[in-house]
Amino acid sequence: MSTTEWIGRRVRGSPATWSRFWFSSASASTLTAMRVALGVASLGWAVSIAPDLRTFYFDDGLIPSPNYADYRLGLFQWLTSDAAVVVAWAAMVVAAISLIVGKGVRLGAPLLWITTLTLQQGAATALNAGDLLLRIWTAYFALFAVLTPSRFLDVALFGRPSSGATPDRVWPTAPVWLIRLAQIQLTVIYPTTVIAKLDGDTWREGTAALYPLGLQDFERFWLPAFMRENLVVGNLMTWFTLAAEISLPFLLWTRRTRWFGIVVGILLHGGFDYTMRLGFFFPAVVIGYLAFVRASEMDRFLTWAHGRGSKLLTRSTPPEPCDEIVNL
Amino acid sequence: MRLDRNDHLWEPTAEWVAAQFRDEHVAKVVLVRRFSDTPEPGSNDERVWESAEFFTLTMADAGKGNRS
Repeated sequence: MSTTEWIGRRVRGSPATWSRFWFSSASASTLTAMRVALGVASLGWAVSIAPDLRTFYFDDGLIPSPNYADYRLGLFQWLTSDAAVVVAWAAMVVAAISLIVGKGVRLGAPLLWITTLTLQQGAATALNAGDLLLRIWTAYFALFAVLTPSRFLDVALFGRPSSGATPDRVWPTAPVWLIRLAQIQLTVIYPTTVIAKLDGDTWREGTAALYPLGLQDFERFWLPAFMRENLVVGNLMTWFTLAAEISLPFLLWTRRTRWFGIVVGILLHGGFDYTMRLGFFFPAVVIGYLAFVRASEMDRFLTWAHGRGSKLLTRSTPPEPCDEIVNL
Repeated sequence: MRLDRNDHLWEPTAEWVAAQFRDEHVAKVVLVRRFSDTPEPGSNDERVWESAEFFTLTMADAGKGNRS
C-alpha cells in the first residue's frame, strides 16, 4: 500500500474512529468507580474544611469579602450571610454522599459542582492544585449528569448480580465520553507541567526535587536525611520526575504500556503525597487514573472485591445459637 | 496571605488574630513575615531566618492599620 493510499484510508476512517472514541458505550463500572471516588474525595475535602469554616468564611473570619473578578463565579457573591456558608457546606456533604451511594446523582453532581465552586472561590487564597483538579472533576460530572439518563448515574459501586447462576456482577452500558474527557484532562497535565518545569534552571540541573523537601512547613512524613541532602539522590528524583511526566502521556495511551503508565503515575503522585503536604491532589489525580482502567478490567476487579467482601462479612458473622436440642 | 498581592487580607487577618485573644484586651496586632533563603542543595549551609513586620493594627485605630 502506498503512503497516499494509507493516508487516504486513515482520513476516510477518521470520522468513524472519532465517533467510536467519544460516543461508544461500555459497562458503567469504571464510570461508577470514578463517581464513588469523586464522592469520597469531595466528602473528605468538605470534612477537612469543616473546622475552618468560621475562620475562612464568616463575617468575622480571615476573608470576609472575597474578591470576585469578572471571570469568577460563586454563590457567596450574592449570599453573604454566615448561614449561607453553613448551608453550602451541608449541601456539599449531601451531594458527595449522593455520588458515593449512587442515589439522586442527576441532582447531586451539579449540586456538588456548584457548592465546591462556591466554597473554593470563597477562600481562593487557600487553594492548591489538588482543590482545582477536584473542582474540574465535579464540573465534568455535573455536565455528564445533566446530559445523561439517570439509569447510568444511579448505580451502586458493585452493580447488581447477574441474572445467571454465576456470582458475576453487572453494570448498565453507559456512554464513555466522560471517561474520555477525564483521560484527556489527566494527560494534558503532564506536558503542561513539563513545559513549566523546563523553564527553571533547577529542573535542568537536577536539584529541583531537593528544594521542596527542605521546606519544613511542606513536610508530611519522615524522610531519611540523605534524601533531602544528597545531590545524586536529588538528581535521580528530579530527572525521574521529568522523565515520568514526559513519558506518562505515551505510556497511558499505548495499549501495551497502559498499566505500566498507571502504576508509574500512581507511584509518582503517591511519592509526592508522602513527602509533601499537597492537600487533595493525590485523591484527585487517582480519579483521573481510574479513567484509564478498562470497563472489562473494572468489572472483574469489582466483582472480585464484592466476592471477597461478602466472604469476609459471612465469616465474621457468628452462627445463630441453636435453641432446639435435636435427638438423633 | 503574607504576600503583597494579598494585602487586602492583612487587616481582616489582624482583626481575626485580635478576636482570638478578646479576653486579653489586645492593644496592637503586628503581622511579621518570617523568611529565609533555602540553602543550595549539597552546600550544607544553615538556613538563616529573617523577619520583617509588614502590617500593624492598633486596636484604637481599627480600620486604619499601618503598613510598614
